[in-house]
Amino acid sequence: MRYLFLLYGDPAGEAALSAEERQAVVAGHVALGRELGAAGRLGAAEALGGDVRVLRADGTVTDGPYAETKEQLGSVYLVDCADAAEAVALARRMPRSPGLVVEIRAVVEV
Amino acid sequence: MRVGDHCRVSQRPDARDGTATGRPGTAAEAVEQALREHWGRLLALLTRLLGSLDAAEDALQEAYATALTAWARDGVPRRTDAWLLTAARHRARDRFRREATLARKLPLLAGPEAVDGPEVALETAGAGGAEVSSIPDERLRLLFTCCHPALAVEARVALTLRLLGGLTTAQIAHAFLVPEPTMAARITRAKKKIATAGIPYRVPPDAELPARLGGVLTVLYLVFTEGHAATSGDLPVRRELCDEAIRLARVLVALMPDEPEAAGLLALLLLQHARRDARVDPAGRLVLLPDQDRSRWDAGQVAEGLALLRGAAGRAPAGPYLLQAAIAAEHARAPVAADTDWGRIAALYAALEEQTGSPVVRLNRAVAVAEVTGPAAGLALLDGLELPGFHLLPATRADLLRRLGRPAEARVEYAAALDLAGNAADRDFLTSRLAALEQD
Amino acid sequence: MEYVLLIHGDEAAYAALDEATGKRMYADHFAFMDELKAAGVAIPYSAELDGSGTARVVRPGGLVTDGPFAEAKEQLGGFYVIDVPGIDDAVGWARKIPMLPTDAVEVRPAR
Repeated sequence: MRYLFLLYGDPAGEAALSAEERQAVVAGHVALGRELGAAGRLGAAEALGGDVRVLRADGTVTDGPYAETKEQLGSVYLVDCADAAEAVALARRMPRSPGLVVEIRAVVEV
Repeated sequence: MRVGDHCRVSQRPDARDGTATGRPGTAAEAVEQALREHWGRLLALLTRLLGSLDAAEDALQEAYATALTAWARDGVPRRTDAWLLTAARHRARDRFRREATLARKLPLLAGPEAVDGPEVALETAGAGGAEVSSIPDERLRLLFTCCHPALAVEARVALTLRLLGGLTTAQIAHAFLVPEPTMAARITRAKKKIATAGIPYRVPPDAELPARLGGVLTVLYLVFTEGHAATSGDLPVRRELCDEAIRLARVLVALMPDEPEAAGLLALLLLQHARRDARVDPAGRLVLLPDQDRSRWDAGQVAEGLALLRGAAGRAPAGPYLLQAAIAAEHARAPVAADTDWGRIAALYAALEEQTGSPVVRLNRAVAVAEVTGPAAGLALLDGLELPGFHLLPATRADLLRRLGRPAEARVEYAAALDLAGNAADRDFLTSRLAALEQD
Repeated sequence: MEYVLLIHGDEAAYAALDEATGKRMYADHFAFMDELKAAGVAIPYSAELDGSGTARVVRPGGLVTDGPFAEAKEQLGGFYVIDVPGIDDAVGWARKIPMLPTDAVEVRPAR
């Protein structure tokens, strides 16, 4: 079953990381992506950029962020997991970045 | 069309003190030089006078464009900044008179200076032959505005480079490997956000200052690391990012002389940048610090960095930038790698770890502790440390295990590190270490 | 360049849709994807998500809680990842996504 992993973080904290620390986080994501890819489980792995547009149903477009909160959505993973427990275990392994919180959502399979 | 787009990127004069070291040959060169030296300062002042960033930018753009033809015709003036300020003021005043209704609609930044009205402010500021010293330096306001937390970090970086650095949108886009229209849109929307969010054009009040200053330092550090990351190829624009970060850090230190973290950041940038010619070998591969040819370090920048640290020492408990600078200074002070004061470095990393709780800092601390107390102590610090995917962790464990005479375990860790190592230079190094183990 | 289109909506409003309207929205989503394909726009990924009530949140330190991260009326209901030249193109395509009045599409570039 596929699960969407939403990685929320603190952008200010992330920006304040040293170059080496940032490298470590990136390395963690690269390694994880490689491992999941090799196992044939990886769908999407996207780091989300800072340019945000929010389109409302009435057609208006505003600049982001979508929610004015300290935690912002930083990246998403789409991964095949046997069950919710495996998904939770994977979420625990996400590379630690400042303020990291991982939300897991199951995908509705057609 | 923006001024600077058609100017070739000319050899920059020594920007250490921000003044020209010689008169350029052509008007185009003079404009390019004036762009770098004066753009940020003039923009900051005009923004305060006019109460509008957009109006200030338009007026200044036109002034620079006019300078191209006027200086070619009449010669380059002795005080290019005074000339440009006068020209910009005239432009803005003419525009207000022509477009009175439009002026009322221009987004105003909150600030007591705007109360009198832009026309009055224009008349009174720098009236009559303005000398350089009497042109007020409002760059601090501009810097804090560009780095406002309401803006996304990417937007803050772009805005700072555009408004304070005077880099063109094309240059910034190129430096960050982003299409130019994307960067242009990013900058435009950031400016709009400042206006619509009513972000005040001011230095933050004391209560907010520490956090806000941290945000500014972060932006400058991001600009520097972006430029520093380019090793092979050494693209001119990326090197300019390092220069720009240092230049802006200098401005910040000059404007906030009592802020030790600002001095700490500048010292850190100087000490890191001083090593630029020794960081990369002729084949374009990164050379580790202990292996660098220290004669290729920029002695002047090292000296300046060390002097800054001496000045900031003892002033309030050291923050993260000051601590990182102090660590860099310990490396810089040692004439050869073997003379490094690892004890001092270990203590500094301990202080830094207490502040940031960073696992990478713990890793670096373990390396230092191993130098002082022996590999067992270093290894103990790495117990339970998790940095998935980061090859330096198993590589460090491997090295310490090797020194402890535990080759079997070292082999396992070297293999794990090899599995994670991204680039050829790292892999070669680890492979040779593994091979050396086999021979024991 | 890839852009992630995150569709936020009011789950109660979706639950309240009658069967015919619900079917039509699905059909509209398929039509949206057909239009993208016809225009030569790649859709590397897309999915509808289970309700936010089934979400789990994993926090630093390992604490796991049920429910979504943000307590809000609008929740993430689905997403598309599309490959287009720029963010304005992505927004242009987002306009064609079938939406209820309380929906919003968040457009983010993927790095």
